[in-house]
Amino acid sequence: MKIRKDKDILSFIGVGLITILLGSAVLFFQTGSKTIMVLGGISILVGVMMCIIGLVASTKPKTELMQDERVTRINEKAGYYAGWIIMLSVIILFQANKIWSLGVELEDMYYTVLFVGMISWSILRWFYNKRSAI
Amino acid sequence: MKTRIKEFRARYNLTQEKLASKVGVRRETIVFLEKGKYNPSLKLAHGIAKVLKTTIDELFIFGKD
Repeated sequence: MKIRKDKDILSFIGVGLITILLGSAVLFFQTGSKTIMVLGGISILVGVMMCIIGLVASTKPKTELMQDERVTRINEKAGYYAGWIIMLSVIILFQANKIWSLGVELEDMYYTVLFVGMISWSILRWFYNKRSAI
Repeated sequence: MKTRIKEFRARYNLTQEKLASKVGVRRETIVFLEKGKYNPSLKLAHGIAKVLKTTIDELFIFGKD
């Protein structure tokens, strides 16, 4: 397996490592604040993800990863339908809350809707990438 | 839509990878173009035609579909 070691990859992994270090420092020097602990945890998680993405990307040629017009079209189309899915899921959650009196607050819905949006966008991107006729 | 990209590419001894990097797209995009499964923008079609020293009319055959 050929691994690329160009500037883009190295700087991306470097930023990931710095994020992990920052997150670790925040956790090490934290003063007991829950928000700061969460921020530190998120930083470490983001840093680890960046390193993994960087390592996976380094095994692929540059032309496999560039943002060309086809990818832009796929992202736009997936984003458009993911937006509709988010709106529909909000409507469904509101109506279900109203009909069955679930007692769900808007704050509780936020993460569910965000999760639905992210998952549907990823699935739609994969689908349009395979289908190709955009 | 059908294309003659593969034929022209072979004429100039260009790989999909090389053509992709010359026109600034992913190799995957060239694969879909050759299969006739992707309608390129006018800019990309012009870019490919220029690299393959031909015209858009020669390169892309537009049918009823």
